[in-house]
Amino acid sequence: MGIKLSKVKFAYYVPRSKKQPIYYQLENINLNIKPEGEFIGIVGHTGSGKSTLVQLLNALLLPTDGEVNIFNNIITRKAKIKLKPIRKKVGLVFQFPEYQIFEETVLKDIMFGPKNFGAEDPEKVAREAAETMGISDLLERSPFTLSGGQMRKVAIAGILASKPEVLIFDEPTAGLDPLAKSEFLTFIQKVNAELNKTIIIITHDMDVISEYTKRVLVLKQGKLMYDGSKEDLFKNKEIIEDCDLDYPEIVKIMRELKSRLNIDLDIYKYNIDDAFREIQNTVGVKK
Amino acid sequence: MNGKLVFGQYYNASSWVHRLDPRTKLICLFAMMIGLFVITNTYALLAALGLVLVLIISSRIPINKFFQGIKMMAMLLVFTFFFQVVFNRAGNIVASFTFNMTVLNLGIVIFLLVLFIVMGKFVKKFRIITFLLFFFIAMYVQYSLDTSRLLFSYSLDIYDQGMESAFKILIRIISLISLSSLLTLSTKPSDLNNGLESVAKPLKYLRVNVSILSMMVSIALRFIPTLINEANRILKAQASRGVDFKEGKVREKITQIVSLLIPMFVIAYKRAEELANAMEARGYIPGEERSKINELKYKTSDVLTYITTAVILTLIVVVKIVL
Repeated sequence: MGIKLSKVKFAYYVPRSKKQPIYYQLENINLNIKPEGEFIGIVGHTGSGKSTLVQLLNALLLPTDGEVNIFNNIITRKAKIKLKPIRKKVGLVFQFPEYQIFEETVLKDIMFGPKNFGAEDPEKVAREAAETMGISDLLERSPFTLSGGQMRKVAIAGILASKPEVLIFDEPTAGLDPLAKSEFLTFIQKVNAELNKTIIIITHDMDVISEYTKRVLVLKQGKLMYDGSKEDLFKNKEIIEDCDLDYPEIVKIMRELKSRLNIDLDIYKYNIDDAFREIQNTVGVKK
Repeated sequence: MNGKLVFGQYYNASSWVHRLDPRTKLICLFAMMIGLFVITNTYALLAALGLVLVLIISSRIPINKFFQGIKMMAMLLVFTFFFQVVFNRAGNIVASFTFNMTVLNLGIVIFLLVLFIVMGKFVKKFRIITFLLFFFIAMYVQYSLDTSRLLFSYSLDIYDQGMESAFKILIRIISLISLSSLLTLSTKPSDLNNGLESVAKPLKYLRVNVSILSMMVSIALRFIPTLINEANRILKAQASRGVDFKEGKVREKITQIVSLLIPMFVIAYKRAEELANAMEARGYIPGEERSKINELKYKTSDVLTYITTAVILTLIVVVKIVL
């Protein structure tokens, strides 16, 4: 179960004549994603194939070569299967999701997904989703009168309402202010921890990776360079340098402290509290 | 995905056609189109087609680019040809076919029709060719088989002038499409727009604001690819909300189209507003005189082209009036 990619290649354009070379956007991706509990971050430079990979996981794009197995639905280039049930299981929130809103009221827009997927009581699930996103007071308003941040919440509620088992976010925090950003990420973390759903998140922000995710995928020019825990990633200097990744701020500060004060700090701490405690323990604060 | 969408997109090559002033190309193209409609003689039309061919070859643009344009009009070409042949009843009868519709034939024709519809579900390519194939099989069956009870019979007469006028229309349309493709293939959209603006300048005496119009045209052209990209994005976003644009009932399809249209309107308005602000911030004032980076200048080749075109057009008109 879950999502499994084996030897997946993907090209946006396959030339008709076989003499012309195919430019693959993704090459030889092997990947296993569990249906519950995972919190995966995908990093890589612009054009490294992050968004393409994510669209393969939801059958919006079909692999040019190889095979994608989404909850036991095997998808290849030629396989003809119904894609709708797959999209119900894997919800994908695009970058700037506020543009997908179109109904007259917020409630109707949130109901749109569940209705399409044939939910029994779309209104009920929509109200629930609105409550989890904290927008219950907006339900009767026209979505086009809302602020950007509120619209994004509405759009995400629209995906949540379909109750997918895996939730994918393509740069969900782009254009949000710091407070809204941390609020949003904490919320996703809650969904991951309490509802035990697998979350996949594309981001450029290494702080997001270090603070929230558990597993990291690093893409470079369409190739999967790293797949493993974030702890191992930050200790793996070659990958970080090879893929031009940055260290999270906390690790940078801890490293600077360690070298300037010449003390024995464990620099690999992933949130402020842990880092603070580590400093306290090493330096020994007198109260 | 976007590459195959627009036919007649600018093709970069180095030829005298590419180097011509866009105004020259526009005006001469217009003159040639008039010429094509004035000519009635079949041989003269063939000569005109030959001239178009010479232009195409000298433009150094691969000829299959032109076929793409003609292919888009293939359906129209086939139908005009067919209607001219069947319904034009002038001149002498060249050939006459009598078709007998019998009980047996009717069955075969219906069977062929069903077969074609069923096939259409599986074979997506070559639809026109399969249609024509089935059509001719059906006609042939009616022509040659008349063993069982006759229901009715009808005849198809082909007249020589019908054939000729069908042939002429074919040549005319092909020449027209090739000429206009030549214009768009050899001229960058921005140059074309500049040329149009300059050619349309006299319209300002009719109180038409040409510079604003041409700005509108160029912005519209510029935003086609952007909006296509946006539309694809919205399509995908709605697809992950369970919209299935390929399948589904008609009633569902309407809401699905609405779910694409409204976001597209919102995006288009937003883009328009942003663009308007950006233009104003950079000092664009509607209707004000603007300077240009690329001033259009006539060269010797332009003058020669004008002269040649004028000579050809006058010849055509004079011959037409005299004969």
